[in-house]
Amino acid sequence: MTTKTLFGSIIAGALFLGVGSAFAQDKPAQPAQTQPATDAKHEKKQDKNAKHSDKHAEKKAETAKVGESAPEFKLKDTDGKDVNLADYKGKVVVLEWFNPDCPFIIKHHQKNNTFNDLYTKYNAKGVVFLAINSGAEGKQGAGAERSAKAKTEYKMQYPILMDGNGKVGQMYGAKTTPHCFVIGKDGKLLYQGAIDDDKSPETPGKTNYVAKALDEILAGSTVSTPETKSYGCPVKY
Amino acid sequence: MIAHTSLVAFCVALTNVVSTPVNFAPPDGSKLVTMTLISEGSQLVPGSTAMLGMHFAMSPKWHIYWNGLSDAGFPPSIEIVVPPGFELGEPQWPAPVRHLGEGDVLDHVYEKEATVLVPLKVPASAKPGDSVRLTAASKWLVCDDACVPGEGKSEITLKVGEKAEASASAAKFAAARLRLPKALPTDGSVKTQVVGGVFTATAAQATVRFFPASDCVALKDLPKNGESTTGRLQIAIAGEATPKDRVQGILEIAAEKQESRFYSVDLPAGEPKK
Repeated sequence: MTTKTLFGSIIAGALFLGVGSAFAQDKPAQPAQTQPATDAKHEKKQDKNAKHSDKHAEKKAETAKVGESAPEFKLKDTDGKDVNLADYKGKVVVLEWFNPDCPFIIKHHQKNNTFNDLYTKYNAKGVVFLAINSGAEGKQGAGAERSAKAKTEYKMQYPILMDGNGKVGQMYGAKTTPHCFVIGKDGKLLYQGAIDDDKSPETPGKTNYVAKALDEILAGSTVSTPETKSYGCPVKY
Repeated sequence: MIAHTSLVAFCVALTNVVSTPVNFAPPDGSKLVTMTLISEGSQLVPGSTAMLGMHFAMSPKWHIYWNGLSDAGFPPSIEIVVPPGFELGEPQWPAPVRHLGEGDVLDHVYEKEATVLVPLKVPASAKPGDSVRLTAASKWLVCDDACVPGEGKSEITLKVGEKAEASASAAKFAAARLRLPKALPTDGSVKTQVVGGVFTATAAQATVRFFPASDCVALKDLPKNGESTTGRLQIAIAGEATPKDRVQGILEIAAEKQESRFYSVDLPAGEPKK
């Protein structure tokens, strides 16, 4: 209950402070370079209230928007290797928000091979796949060790990037695991939303929105469904 | 929370020492929530509509999802099996509470307990004295910091009788009804409108909250705009509304020292035709 009351006052505070920037998210998203998630620990020690408003302000300035440049980022993978989105300019990139212990990730990575099948089919056509784990330290499925183990368990052939301070997740407005983003060869965000149209934690959907968007992008056409509502577990920021 | 955090910290510390991967055994989602099928009346009266309820009791700090809009999760399934001749009505979901997580993940959830009401039409041909067995099943997602799936089953046997008294569970129905949305008051104390692509709801000296139904038109920045402490809630509609789009959901008016009141909102999202 304390947490809830605290959130309540944060919301109330944000309402008073944030009136002027109510529609700041409508401004074009600025490509932004973020630091690798090295200071997550430090940030955790900060006052929770301040931390939340900081994040709020940050998000307002940089939230990714379909049709605009996808925010740039540099994160470490589970082996500690830097992965820079800018290095993939000229390629189509799929981002998958990931939490290995979320029932919806289990649905698509273990109960079904949704993402592995997608990877096999589209990587052959030059599409890059990156999973991002924005789970904060100590939360369900967070951290490089758990992710590395899951990568083996789920036989994933693409890197899982560590975003422990949640900055990249918030920049993209990633709400759920999975939450998918497709970036075009020119670096523009072309799709954001759900992997498919079945919100249950068991059955894969009839329409895979990411596959549909990739087919259209690779055929040189416009993405017909550029946005859907993602579903899954909340990202454990 | 404190206990949980320190347990996690302890486990992390322990893991660092023995240098093995962190791997928590996930809690059992079927044990974190107890679903019970309940009846408002003590008996089923032939030719009447009885009220059943699926009562969900959550472990402290855990929540399940409302059937309207949330960023994450999904509502518990409502599955009740009734004998031939009996007919179930549409489930009635009580208003949820806002759950705003880090990263502006906004969910509309039930904490502690919630009862989803389900009307049951009893056939006129039902014979007094007969026993009727009703079974319910549900699958849910239950979350606190973690999210885990769970499921449960429950059954109840009721007698058909000429008269029904309040059952032992009647209070749960009364509590749920306090949170069921009603028609907006006609005295003008609560006003709602959509003008110029903005949904506005006003009620003097109250906190106003809006919980969008799953079919509601897309609204802008609900984590911030879905609740107002000024008595005036304003939410812009995202994009261009089509004539079919509607602002649908539940409005909560929470005045100080009063029980919250809940109203149904169903307005065209576009401009009225001139």
